[in-house]
Amino acid sequence: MKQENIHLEQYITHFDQFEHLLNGQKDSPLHQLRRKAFDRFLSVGFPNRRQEEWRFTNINPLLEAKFQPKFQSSEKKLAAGDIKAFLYDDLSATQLVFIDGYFAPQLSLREETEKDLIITSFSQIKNWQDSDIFSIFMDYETYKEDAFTALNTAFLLDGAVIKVKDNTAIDRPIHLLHITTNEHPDQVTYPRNMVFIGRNSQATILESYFSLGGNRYFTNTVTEIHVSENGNLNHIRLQNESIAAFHIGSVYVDQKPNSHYFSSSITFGAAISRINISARLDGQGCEATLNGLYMGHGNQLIDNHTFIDHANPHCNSYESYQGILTDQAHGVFSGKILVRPDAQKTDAKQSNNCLLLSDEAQINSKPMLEIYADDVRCTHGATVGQLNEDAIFYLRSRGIAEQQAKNILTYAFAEQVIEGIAVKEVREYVDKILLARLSEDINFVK
Amino acid sequence: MLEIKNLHATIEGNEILKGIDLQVNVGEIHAIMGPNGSGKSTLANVLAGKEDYEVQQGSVLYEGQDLLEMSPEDRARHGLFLAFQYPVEIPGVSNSYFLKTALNEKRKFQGLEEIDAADFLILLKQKAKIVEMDQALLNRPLNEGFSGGEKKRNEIFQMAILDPKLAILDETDSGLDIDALKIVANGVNSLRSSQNAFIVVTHYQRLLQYIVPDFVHVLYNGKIVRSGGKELAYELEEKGYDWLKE
Repeated sequence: MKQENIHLEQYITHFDQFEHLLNGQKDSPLHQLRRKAFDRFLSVGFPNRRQEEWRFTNINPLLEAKFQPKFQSSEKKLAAGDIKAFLYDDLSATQLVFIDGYFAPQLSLREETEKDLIITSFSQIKNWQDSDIFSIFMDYETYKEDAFTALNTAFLLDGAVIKVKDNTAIDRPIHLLHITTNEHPDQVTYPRNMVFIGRNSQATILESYFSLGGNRYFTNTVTEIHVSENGNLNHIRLQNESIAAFHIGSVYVDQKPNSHYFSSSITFGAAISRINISARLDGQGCEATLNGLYMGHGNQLIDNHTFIDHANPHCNSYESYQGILTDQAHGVFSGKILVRPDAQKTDAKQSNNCLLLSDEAQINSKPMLEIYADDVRCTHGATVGQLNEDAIFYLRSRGIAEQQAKNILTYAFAEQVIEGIAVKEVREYVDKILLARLSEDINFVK
Repeated sequence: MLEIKNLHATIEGNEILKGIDLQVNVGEIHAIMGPNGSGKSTLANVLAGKEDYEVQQGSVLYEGQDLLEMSPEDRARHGLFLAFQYPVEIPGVSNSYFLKTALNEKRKFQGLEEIDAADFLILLKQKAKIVEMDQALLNRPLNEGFSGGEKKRNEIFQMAILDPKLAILDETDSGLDIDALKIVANGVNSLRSSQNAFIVVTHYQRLLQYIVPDFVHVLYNGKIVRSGGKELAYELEEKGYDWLKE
């Protein structure tokens, strides 16, 4: 067996176990999809650093780790108090909680009367493969995009399904809360979220990832989003996994004409974090905003890959990622913008700025613009560096101590993304974590 | 209050200040004039503690203490204030949050309690009036997107809030139209008292029509080459700086 195939072995064993437990459902359309995805996974294998998309990202620790999948929901029942820390100060939200990848109805809060909204989990739908939302997502075949998405699809068991009907504005945020309990060591979970925003409709989705303990585990998650014509989705994604965890997440967004998608992706946790967000602007007049904030310390590896596909004319995209790295943390940012030949009048702006607060922190930042149309405006910029000395001096000259001046400027740097987060309670939570890291970790700002 | 003796300073190996002597007493306004490149801004920055400059020789006593030994923040807490020639834009930090932090640092140093939020608001409004600051600027990020005049006015506004003992104005008049210049000058005049002192660094005599100095010093090539009363400023206005080169 080739060296690279050794890493696939445990997943083959897991898949056999999984199929064994499925009795009778092996012929279902869902399982057909799983099989196709698993075959795909086996044929492409895990990515390696010879591939452009993974050039700077060493995932060997993840590949070499042994994981234990769980094919049934947790025996341990959590109480509301156990998850309080993850509820953003009792944010008033429609709430779907997933524990170790499985829907936990006792912890979830749904307004059943909300007739304009279908909100449930895979495991709750009977014959859900017949549902219209499923067929839409089946057509996307995202498992062909990437090995981790294929793996997620192969082990697809549960996750959130959100459908906002046409002509509907949902005011309350919808919180998809994914928690790993660390009940057993080396858990692996495959959460899958599907979000469908109907025509002329709007919603705010908050997708968060937390854990109850500091052990090693692996979250491999995929979120598929469809924003119909003239729809509007505000998507907040917050990753605050254990510092020993591995987190691989992909978000696939398909936008129809005149739709808006606004993403704020916040990354604090995990030993290795890789998040891919791709938006396909499949219609004229679309607007996509991808904002991100990442903060790494210790030996964290934090990788953000984005891809915006300008497939049609008159679309705008705005992208702003801000990173703060200290200790030996390693950041990777890759922002690809594809402007196809027909996509005239495209306006695309991208920036990635990264603060390196220690000598050993490093960032690989790579904007990639592929432009095949001639009447477009595309700009990108990347800055890497330390805090501005003149700004530090300015604050000090007003009586603010050097360390505090640096903290204020670091905070201000992050604030440029934080202020765009649509939900106040989440902004406050992110502020709190940021400030705690700045003052409690004395090494954080050197 | 301030006693500068034989001050020599370099930046990146170039000697800019070549032996400055200057004494400033409480209640006085000193103007420092001179052509571009004479060392005026260097002097202002060395006094405020900018680390890019290296002091080779000389001493600076501020209220009897060795100023050069103090960190920039300590100088500020002891009542020294520099109004910058080019105030830095700081996105993400609101003007009023910044001022409150600065004021509280000073109060802490003086052994006072942090200022109460309501009292701070009153203080802001009261001082904003002095420099005719648009209230909207208070909640904007510090200097971000401010016009040149707004930035300079914001410097004087900060000075009014922090109430320094010794204020150094580094070319605060440059780039201001006459109305803005008058506002800035009015701000300084209203803060002037027998308890504080000002050093006004300027290229032009124009500002000194509105802020009347007790002493005028001409800085040229890193040295004070002439000192006199306010009439020296008028003389410079007439003769320009060319006579210095002869």
